[in-house]
Amino acid sequence: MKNKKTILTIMVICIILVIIITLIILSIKKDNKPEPNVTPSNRIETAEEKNTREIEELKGMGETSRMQFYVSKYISYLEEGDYESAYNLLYDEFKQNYFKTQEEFTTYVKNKYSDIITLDYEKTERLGPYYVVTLNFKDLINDTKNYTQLFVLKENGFNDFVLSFQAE
Amino acid sequence: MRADFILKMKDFWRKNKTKIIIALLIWLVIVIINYILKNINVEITPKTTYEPHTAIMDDSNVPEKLQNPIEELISKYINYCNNKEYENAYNMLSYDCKNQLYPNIEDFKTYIDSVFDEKKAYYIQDYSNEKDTYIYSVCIFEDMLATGLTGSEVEYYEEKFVIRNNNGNLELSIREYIGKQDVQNVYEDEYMKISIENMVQTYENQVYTVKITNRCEYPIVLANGSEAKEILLGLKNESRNVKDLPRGGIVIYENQTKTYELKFTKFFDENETAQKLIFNAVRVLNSYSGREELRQKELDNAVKLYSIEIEL
Repeated sequence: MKNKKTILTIMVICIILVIIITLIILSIKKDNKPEPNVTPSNRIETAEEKNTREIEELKGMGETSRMQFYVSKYISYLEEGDYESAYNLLYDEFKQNYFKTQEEFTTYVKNKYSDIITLDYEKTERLGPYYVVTLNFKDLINDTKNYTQLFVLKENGFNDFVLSFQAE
Repeated sequence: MRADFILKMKDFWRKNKTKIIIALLIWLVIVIINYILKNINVEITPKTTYEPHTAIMDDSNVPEKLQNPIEELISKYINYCNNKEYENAYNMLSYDCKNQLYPNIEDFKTYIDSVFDEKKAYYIQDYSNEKDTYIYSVCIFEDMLATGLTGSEVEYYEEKFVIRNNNGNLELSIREYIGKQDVQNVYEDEYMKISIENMVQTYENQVYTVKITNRCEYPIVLANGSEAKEILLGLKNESRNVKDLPRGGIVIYENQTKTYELKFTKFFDENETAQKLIFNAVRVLNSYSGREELRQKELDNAVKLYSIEIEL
């Protein structure tokens, strides 16, 4: 009878220990997962991974930095020649008003911006949930292509935003 | 030696069995709670400095249960205005606001057309909260996301909307209209009778409707801009000058009765209350020309110069 009780106690302890060890292992495994911003050099980051990484970056930023991040993201698409992604970031009604097709947008962008874009963020103003970012574009080769452009943004969530700009 | 160690361990186990099991169980509970907390997905939303339901004046907050209904109410009203659904927008206004500001819908249409000359965007910001009355600053501007501010600058029209929670029923007033009070205070003497009919409170001003009857044969000048403090609103610790005097001042001739609206700066959320109307320079004159060069002569020949205070 006494032996039976001891065996039972030992079994309970063993079960508890197994649960604890399993939880610890799970926790360690989770912690050891590669950081979202660490991309293995031998493969290309997927869109989902990139989005996750950017969201993590954005979580640590203030609202002004986030707006600048969004505008930079848009400009990067232009620099990379990824006009479709840049076009998709535009607010629908803005597209309807100024660039009904992606082709129109691409033509505008190619005429407007230099090949090498140098940016200078002048200021970011907030109007309720809207942000107006004033951006100075500088062309190091051709001075006549220096100008200021306003960007209007609305953030719906991290890395979830729409924008428009002075289409002049 | 080994047998001795085992015996000691067994003895220790026997004595502390319960404590050890309890300690293990507590540890298990802590580990499980920690694991659960780590794995809860808390949705983090971007932090901004935009707090639409926190009052600019004193950082007080609109009750949480009213925040969404207020947003929906304003959104519905602005949508009606944008779509030129005049009647629907008009019907959303409180009875008192409609009666006072726009007794007929045609005037309201003119107002809507002037503010919503094109499709407008807007945002709200709680400005001040007083008991069940919530004053929001509503900024109305061109839909800058749709235009990208192309060919324009950041410009907006700002107006205060007043939302009163009347037993769960939200009443909307525009153009900072708060309400109307009957006053019915009368002053009389041998020269005139002044009757204060009512007071309209907007967020920034109090406007008193005053009926003045001249009972004598002489012209009476209550204000013509020739003196600094002709008509005042008396508060406990200060007096405030009347604003926007009518052109030509307040002059009542023999047997005339005229009604004026006297406007004073008196914010709705101020602690001080208005106590009296002061007519500081009542001039009963033998003759009045309104000409600057004759002013002193007319004063020198005055029948009576005095001041009046009417309690509110």
